[in-house]
Amino acid sequence: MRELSLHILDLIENSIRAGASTLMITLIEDEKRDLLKIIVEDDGPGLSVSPEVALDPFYTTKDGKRTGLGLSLFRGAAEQAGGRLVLRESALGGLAVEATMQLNHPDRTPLGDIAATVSSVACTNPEIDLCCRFHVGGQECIVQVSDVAKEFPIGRRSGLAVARRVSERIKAGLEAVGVKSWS
Amino acid sequence: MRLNEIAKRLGLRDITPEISEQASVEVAYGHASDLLSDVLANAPSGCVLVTIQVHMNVIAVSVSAGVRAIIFTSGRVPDEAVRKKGIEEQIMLYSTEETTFDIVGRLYALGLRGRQG
Repeated sequence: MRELSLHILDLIENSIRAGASTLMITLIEDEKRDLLKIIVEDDGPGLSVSPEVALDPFYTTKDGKRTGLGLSLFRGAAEQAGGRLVLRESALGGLAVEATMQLNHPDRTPLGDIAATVSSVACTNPEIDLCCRFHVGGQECIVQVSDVAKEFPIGRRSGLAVARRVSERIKAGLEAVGVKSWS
Repeated sequence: MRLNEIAKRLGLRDITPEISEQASVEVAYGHASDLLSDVLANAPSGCVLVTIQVHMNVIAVSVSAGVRAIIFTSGRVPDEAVRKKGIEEQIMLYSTEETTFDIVGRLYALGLRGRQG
């Protein structure tokens, strides 16, 4: 995939399909350690198989499919940028998918349009409690996506308007902390 | 052209001789990419894939995209687990010291083409 944000979208869709209702996306950039870390975690049921099996590109939970490439391709993207992908238990109670990469590795996939990714999820899954955290250097910004909808009077809470405001918030948050991994 | 004929003309090393019966398959299309989601989206079914990616994901993507054979270029060779999976999935694997650029040029000269349209 051309953007890390598409991998993130894929993981969010997995979480929602698995029945999660709370999701947290964490992005950490540390220029000094040449580190980019992305964590997508949820309060879902967690893994029903071992992490090794879940990461096997020939393992899938969907009927009628022979391959399950979502996690495997994300792992490939992490490894090609000198990093790795780990599956562990989340403090939220479900699964945490944690990918690390060398921030300045020439083969690191660009982050891409994370604002569009998150706002599309907010628009299509308004019932999901979604939070984004961005840490860059010593700076931190948290966007509680599901609170954005509550800023609108109920009669004027259209999915599109909420999505637009979520996108603005995410962009402002990324700019506030000075994210560099866009490209 | 048949896979075994292509392998012979290009001097490719067959690393899955266990499924040599697959080498008589005719192929007309090729695809060159190291971005596996691009292979998934754009490789023509029944094609030969030319890549430097030797990760297990390349086999899984090839199964989904209907790739018949993979040529690993620039001296890359997959590990045994990947090779075995290729055999299990009946996908012929070849390796060569030549670069993707040169191999693709030679495949084109043999009459193979990329996706139509």
